[in-house]
Amino acid sequence: MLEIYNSLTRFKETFKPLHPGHVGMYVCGPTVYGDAHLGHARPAITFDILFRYLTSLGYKVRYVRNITDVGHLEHDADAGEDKIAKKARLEQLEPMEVVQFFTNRYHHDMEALNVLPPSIEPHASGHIIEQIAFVQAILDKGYAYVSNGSVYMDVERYAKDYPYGKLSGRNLNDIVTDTRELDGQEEKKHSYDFALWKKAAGLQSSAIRRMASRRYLRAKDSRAGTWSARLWERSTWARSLTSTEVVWILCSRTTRQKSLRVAQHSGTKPYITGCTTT
Amino acid sequence: MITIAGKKMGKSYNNFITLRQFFAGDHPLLTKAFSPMTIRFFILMAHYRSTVDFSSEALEAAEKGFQRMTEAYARLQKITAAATSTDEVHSLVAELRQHCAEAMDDDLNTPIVISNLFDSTKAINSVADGKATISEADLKELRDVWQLYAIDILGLQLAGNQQSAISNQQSAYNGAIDLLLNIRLDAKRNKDWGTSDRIRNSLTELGFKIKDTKDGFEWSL
Repeated sequence: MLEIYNSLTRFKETFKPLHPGHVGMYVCGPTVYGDAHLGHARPAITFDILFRYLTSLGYKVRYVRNITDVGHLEHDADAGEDKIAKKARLEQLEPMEVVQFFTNRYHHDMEALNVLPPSIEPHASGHIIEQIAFVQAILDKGYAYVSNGSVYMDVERYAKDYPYGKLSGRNLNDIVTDTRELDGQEEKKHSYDFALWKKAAGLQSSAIRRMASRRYLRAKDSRAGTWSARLWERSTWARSLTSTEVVWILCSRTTRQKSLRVAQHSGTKPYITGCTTT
Repeated sequence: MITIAGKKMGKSYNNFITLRQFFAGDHPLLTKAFSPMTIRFFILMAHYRSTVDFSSEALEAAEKGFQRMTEAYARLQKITAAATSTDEVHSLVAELRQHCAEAMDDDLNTPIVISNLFDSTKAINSVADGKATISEADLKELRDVWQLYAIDILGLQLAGNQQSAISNQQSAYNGAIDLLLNIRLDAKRNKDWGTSDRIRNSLTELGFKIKDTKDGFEWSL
């Protein structure tokens, strides 16, 4: 019987899939603005071993590993420029060129390490609509607030209803003392609140302002979908990026915990999650 | 987590070495280039929840370990079965699969799987050196366990399936040395000791290590 460490209980436990014979694995993939380093190789190889072993045990494994091609901001989360947009600016490339270039190189490096490709490789930019709906759901439940056009997680409010910090083993007081001072902090109620959706720098058009506003986020999914689709049709990735900076997959340890808590709360339960740390 | 000089390796600390730099040996902290399989083996030599401190020396040790694995795997493909197994060989083969499975079931303990495979190299070597024998059933089991745990589960590309990575030049070179040593084998059979010794001594002088085995020869540089 496979025994595997459960970060939530902090014990090795007998692995029992929710659906007999089937396993779903979600692993946090790279943010594609630079070459993979040794710190990326380790989780990739570790989850490759898990995938290979579960497969050899006869499980049907659906292995999802994303490509973060938008929305990973400098300095962890709340302030600063999108990492890919910044790289593109420095290299005088289209952001999509940066994304494709480093995605190709990542695949090549993983193949060299004999890391098997995942069953599904979603791109963050391909799920903007779902992310808008997701942020909206959190807002509707009262666990987020809008400040200066950006949406932040209301950590204190959330912690009243759910055991925030259970995965990382840190309580809110620990998190407060550990939180770095960053630009844009004044928009937040507390330093430990984190951005769910960030107002882009230099937003001008009223339509885009509306997009970042709570009213917009309350709009029906269908409307959000139309808006996103229109953005994609009419502009390059770069232009759509500056109006829809997305912050949802941030691969630091604290954010892993945050996103997992949020995922459990919203009813989707990833039971194996992995994260590359950058 | 991987540390470098005790500090977490990461983009935000600007102390990372990219995989491409490892593969090319292109970084001041690296004494040489390291193959992707050496990197993979290095990572699997530690349990996934432990902290690994990176150093060029540690990678060189991993490289030697991986080299031993590939050599043992190559011998395993070459050895031939006898009527029965020597006792030690049989008891080792009988338990190997179980030991590897227990290690993987114990929170993916890859270092223990590797050490079990290393233990079995002793048996492979004694059979290759003619000091022990292995039955057909045991040889099949041993090959199956290596295939499952070393190749399918640990994902190590040992010898055969690594051929494509070796350049044409390298394989032509290997072929030329094999040819010389086969000429030497023929010379020995014809009791042409002059030719046989000349080939052996010249290659040894050039730095080759030549080993006579029951089934022919092995060489390394």
